[in-house]
Amino acid sequence: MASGVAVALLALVPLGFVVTYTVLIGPSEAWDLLVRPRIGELLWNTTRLVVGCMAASLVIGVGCAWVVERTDLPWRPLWHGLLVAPLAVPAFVNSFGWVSLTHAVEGYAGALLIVTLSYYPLVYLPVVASLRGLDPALEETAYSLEHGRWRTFRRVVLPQLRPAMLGGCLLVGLHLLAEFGALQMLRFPTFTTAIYDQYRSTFNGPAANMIAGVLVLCCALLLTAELRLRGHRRYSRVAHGAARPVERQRLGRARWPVAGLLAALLALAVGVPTYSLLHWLSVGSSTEFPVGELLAAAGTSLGLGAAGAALTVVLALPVAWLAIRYRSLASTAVERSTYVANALPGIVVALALVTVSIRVVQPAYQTFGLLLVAYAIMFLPRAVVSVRAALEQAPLVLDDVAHSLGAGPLATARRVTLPIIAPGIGAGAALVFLAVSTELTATLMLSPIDTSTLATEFWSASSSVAYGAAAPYALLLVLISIPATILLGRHATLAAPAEGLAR
Amino acid sequence: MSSLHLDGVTRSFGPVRAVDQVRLSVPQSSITAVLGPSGCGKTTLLRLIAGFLEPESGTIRFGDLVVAGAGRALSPQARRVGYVPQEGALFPHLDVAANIAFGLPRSRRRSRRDRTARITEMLDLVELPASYADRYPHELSGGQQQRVALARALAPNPTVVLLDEPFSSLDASLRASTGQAVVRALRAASATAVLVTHDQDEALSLADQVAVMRGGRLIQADAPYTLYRSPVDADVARFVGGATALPAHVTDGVATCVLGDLPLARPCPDGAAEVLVRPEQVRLDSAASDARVEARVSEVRFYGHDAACRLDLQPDGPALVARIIGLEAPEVGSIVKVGVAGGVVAFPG
Repeated sequence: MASGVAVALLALVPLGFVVTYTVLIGPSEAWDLLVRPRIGELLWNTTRLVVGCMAASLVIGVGCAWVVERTDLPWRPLWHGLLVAPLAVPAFVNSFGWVSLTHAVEGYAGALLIVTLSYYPLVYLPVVASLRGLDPALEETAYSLEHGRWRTFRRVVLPQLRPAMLGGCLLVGLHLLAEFGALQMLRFPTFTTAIYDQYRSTFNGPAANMIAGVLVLCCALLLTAELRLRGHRRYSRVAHGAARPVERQRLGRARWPVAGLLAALLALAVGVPTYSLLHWLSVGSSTEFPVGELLAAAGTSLGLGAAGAALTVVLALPVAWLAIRYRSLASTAVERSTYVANALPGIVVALALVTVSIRVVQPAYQTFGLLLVAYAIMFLPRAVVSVRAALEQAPLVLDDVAHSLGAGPLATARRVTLPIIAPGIGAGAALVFLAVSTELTATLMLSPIDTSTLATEFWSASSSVAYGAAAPYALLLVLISIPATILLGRHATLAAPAEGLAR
Repeated sequence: MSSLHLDGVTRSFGPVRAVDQVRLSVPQSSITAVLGPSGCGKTTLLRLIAGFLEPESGTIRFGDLVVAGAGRALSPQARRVGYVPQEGALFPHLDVAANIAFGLPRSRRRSRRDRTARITEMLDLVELPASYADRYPHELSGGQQQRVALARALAPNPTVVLLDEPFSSLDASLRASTGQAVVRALRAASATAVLVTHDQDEALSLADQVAVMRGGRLIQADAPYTLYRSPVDADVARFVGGATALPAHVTDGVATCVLGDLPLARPCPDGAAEVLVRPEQVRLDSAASDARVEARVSEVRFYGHDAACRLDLQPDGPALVARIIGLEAPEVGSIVKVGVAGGVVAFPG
């Protein structure tokens, strides 16, 4: 319990920073800073982007998952791999790909299109995993009760997918609230880009902090909404034994049009940024290959990614453990508090840590350690979500059996629990690795002087409109993200066998 | 293997006394079934023996070794019990061989020859082919999973084997055969075993001793035959085997009730009483007994080898259940003569 609480407290440091700052400003000035037309505009922009993107991701994610898992679509494994692929293209690289080809994508419609194409896999992946674990007997029962395909999907399958859908939507929403690079490039101002501008260009601390406060409220709203909607119902298989393989729905004449739709989606999500990158690599006048710098930046990104992933997963373990094994209000509070930092833009986390480290632990300022702590705070939710799901696969009765066979708590963890949750932990680590190796704002603020990562080098090149110079970094960013993405996609499809036990 | 003794074992959850002052002895190398309806505390009792829970008071001994009570509690891993939970709970990430070898001491796990020998021996014991060793749990049927779970529990030579409703998740035909196979394996291993179940057929047919629990208390622990023949109260009689209770008056070892004068199987003080008539004691159209009561057949459940008939005593008497040979079952609606064979059990009151 103590370690879980410690992690939660660490995750709450940035929030504490924002709140303290707000209190120090005083109510009247806070009010003046909040009630401005500018804030109204930002609120409208942020809300319509988040709501629109969550809705679109839900439709695309659930639709694709159902087609891949439950129909006789040709080349299903290939589609699955490709549908996860956008995860390997960071959102700001994706918008670079679009915006460097056409400026028509600036503004709401373009922003919505690009962030949806970047983030729908966050819904697709958990829904695929859920569909795999879902006993087809439920659907067959519905058919026998004279429910058609569509009614069965709506009344039987959808409710079962609800935890996965809500969890995925929550992730999409939180990502969007914190998204900076992509939206900045598309000139679509939201709370997060506004905070960055306030800090960077005008150094207007109080105003930025007030916006951060509103952003934190948005995040809290999302979290409670998800908690409410999820409810307390149990979603699990009632029967014993292994689930039967699925009888796939025949698409019939719709088979090729459906495949065509998927191909079109992938052309937009993967094809356009890939084409754009290759285009700038080959024709860009500013294209150059400073091999030494590229390698150094890649090395730093990989190292930070690996170290950040390791630290984050270690911190996520006690939190998820509490949430699953000791269900209570307190443990839910601990788990939920780790989500808060994810909605804070990297720059708020970074500045909170800068302030705290300068005032409290001076030697930590501008060290890799502090940077890693920032990553851990920002990306804990991804690790917690995966580790939590994995722990649900290891029911307590297995611990009982192991104890009765002479294995003490440590041996049980080593021989039973860890091997069962290892795939989930791997998936969590992969998610964090992806996030860290492409992280931009916190890295810019916190990394020791003269540190260059792929993301920061890419950013400085692309913001000076040196598209050709930015392209090699973008390509490397995509390349180092690929192995982790493959791991993720495979994990979702392997999660099924243990499902029977996790009742 | 050693014997198992419980004395005054009590455990509450909040205000509910899940296990209340239970006293029970399981002789070495014998099987005791703990029988009771769901919620009677039988699973809690098992978890107390295994060490997953600690009793508030009372002692649990394995032979002469106190494992719980008198201020000490041995951890589950130090008790060396073999535990077979309801759904088998095989480790999903390990194959059958690794599951069985899980509890073996490290030295035996490392020695390939020792390990293989023990796994083969155990698979043989639970009547599974040796080729199953490299299958994974999800490739086995429910009954096979249960057998592997038993093999895993028996492999390290436990002091006591505990089975928590191991057959309840299996379908009816598999349940009987798996039950018999499990008991053969337990006997072959000379195991001291406690089997928790809510199925009276299972308890009576598989165990050496049946302990009936109700509301956390242990009501009666006896050999199946004794339990069936001499239940301590009417509830136990009805729960084990079923019986119809009729008001009666006892004088000089004879109970007088609507079915006539019935001899008592065991003594009961004179006066008002309740007699219990087992379904198989009821005879229809029997010339030998004093079949002077008439009844109308209101329902017949035909099983082939036998049939259960529901009889309404005429003109307005209570209902009675008779179990008779299948091919002798009467028509529904017909009037039959009813008699009772053998002595009946009476309870004063």
